[in-house]
Amino acid sequence: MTHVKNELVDLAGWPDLDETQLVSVLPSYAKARALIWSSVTLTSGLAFAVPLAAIEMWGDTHVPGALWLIVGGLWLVSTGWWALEEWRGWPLRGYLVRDRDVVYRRGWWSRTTTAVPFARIQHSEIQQGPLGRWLGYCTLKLYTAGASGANLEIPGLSVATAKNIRQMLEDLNHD
Amino acid sequence: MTDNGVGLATPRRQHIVGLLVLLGWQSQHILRAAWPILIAAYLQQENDAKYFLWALSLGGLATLLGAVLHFWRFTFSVSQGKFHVHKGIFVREKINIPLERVQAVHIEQNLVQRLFGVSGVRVDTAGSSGSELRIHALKWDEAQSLRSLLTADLSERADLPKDQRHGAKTDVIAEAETKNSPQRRAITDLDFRTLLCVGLSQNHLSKVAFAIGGLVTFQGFAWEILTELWTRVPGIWRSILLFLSPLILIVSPVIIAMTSVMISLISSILRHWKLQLWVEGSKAKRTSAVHLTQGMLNRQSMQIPIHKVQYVTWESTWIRRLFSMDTVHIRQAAAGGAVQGNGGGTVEGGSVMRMGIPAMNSKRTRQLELLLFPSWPQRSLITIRPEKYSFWVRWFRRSLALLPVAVGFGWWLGVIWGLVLGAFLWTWSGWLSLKIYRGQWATTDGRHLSTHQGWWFRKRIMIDWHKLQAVEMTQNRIQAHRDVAHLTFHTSSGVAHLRFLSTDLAKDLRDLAMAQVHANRGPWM
Repeated sequence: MTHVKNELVDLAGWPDLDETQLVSVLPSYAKARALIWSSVTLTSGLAFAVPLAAIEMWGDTHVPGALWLIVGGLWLVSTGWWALEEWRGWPLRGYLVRDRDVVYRRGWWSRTTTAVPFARIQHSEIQQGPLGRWLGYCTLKLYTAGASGANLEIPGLSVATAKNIRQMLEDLNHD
Repeated sequence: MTDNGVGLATPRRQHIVGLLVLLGWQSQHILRAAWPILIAAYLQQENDAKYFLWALSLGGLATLLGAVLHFWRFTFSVSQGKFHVHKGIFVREKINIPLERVQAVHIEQNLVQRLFGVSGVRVDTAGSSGSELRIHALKWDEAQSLRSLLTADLSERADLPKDQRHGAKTDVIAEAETKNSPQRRAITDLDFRTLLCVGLSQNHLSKVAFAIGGLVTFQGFAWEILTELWTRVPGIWRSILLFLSPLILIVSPVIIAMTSVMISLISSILRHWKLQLWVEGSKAKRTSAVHLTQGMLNRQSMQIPIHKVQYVTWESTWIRRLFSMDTVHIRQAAAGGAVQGNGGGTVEGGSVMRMGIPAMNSKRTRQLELLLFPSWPQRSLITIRPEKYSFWVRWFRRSLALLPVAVGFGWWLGVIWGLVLGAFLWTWSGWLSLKIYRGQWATTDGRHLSTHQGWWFRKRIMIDWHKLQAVEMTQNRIQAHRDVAHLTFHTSSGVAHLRFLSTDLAKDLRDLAMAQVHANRGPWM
């Protein structure tokens, strides 16, 4: 059995991640998220309200008030929570490209900061859907080996920025 | 093209028995995918089953034709530092895999393959898709030669002319594989007594369902036999047996428990029969690999190069700790679709390459630890413990989850009984949370991380920060207020968590881990 001491490893001197330097993603992506929130809120509200209203108006039975309250309350709480998450989470959303890694932070209630070293990126992908093409943003997807959930997606980048990051990755791989 | 000494330089087909194995393999896949349709078709059929039989015959014919064509079109060879595979019936595929991308080559023998003296070879790469190539039948020595060729390190043979490299390496490996080779270091040879201990220390609870299922399935048949026997029993004995019949209620759980233990014993003996674990190869030349052979009906021969090991776990239960035998899982880089699961020596979910080794006592564990992580501990260790807050959170969550039980009990039997049960559950959840809190800790030497978790089921995970894929720090609003955060270290084979660390320590460890990844200049996979 190896005898070990319990001394501290000197952590000073390692480059630390300064989260205040994070760069915000494009404001057009905020519009896209707002659009998605509005359409899902409206659709889900209608999906619950229309059948209940139809039963109330044309059905044989009366919809209990408690059911309206429960369904409406759940809808209000979930969409309200989502709105709060988007509104308060937006200023915290950001990315940082350093010499050797890329960092992305998201979330208001539960904040997650992910750092992926460039040396571990297997391939990358730039994705732009119809909404992205209309509002002028794209998503950069960075894939690592395996499938332990280490892949990183950075949405809300301009196409030029995404291409620059990808070019940087290619240059580093060729060095 | 130069021959590599074992006739694998030119494209060739697998052994003819491969056709039979392929047929069985494809039928198994089809049955697994289409069994609900087949059952539905069988139940829906008219009185005469001609349409069903026709469909079944056509399906069988198509499978046979598919197997023949696949066998005919599948060729492979090893040349110019690449493993070449040509396959495909309608769409012709030419796959060239550089040998340095080959993660592992496993040799397997099921019952049919053993009867014909051939073995199957499975080649895994760490690509995101199509990571697995399977050759269904090769003669045993040919399979060994192919594995030697695919797993030999090309870079170490740079002194040799290019066209001689494969042959030379084959000789080196073949020599090393002989039992008397000085390069071969045995770690475990599982004798029958230890094998029985492995069987006895399994998780028998998981087998209870099988035991009950078996009893339910055969109860009708058993009932018929018992009724038949009952008619032959003399009158006096009938009275005695009827008098003793309440004993069945006591005997039944014993029978189920004994059946579960028997299932565990038999499955352990079948899986780990003649298990041998050894290490061979040169560390300096990066040819050092962990080898495992085991199995009675399905014989397996696996090897994982040591420098490709990404993630190692030690798992134990209370029973296994009694016998002093942990189960170790050694994992290497996984392709897409990695899963967490149980089982040993097999590919789980189609992509995680995992070697499961039972009966690892502390001596063997230390031996394996030194082999897999030679520089551990690189320097003095620091111990990392979660903040006390994690204990309170666990206790609160458990208490909240158990509250409805106490309320329901109080509703049913009265307030006093509800309060008594509530107090008991509250104390019990506190005790359990404390045990779990105390069982959660980690050590690091600045390069490796060894995490410990669990109380009844204990698990230790060990990773090398040089091989990390990503580091993630998570913190919700309450945790931010309490100044704690979670860290997740992603490797290509799984994740290791450090939960409820102080925020500053979490940030320091994240930065240190990232710095270690950047400091690594060597290959990591």
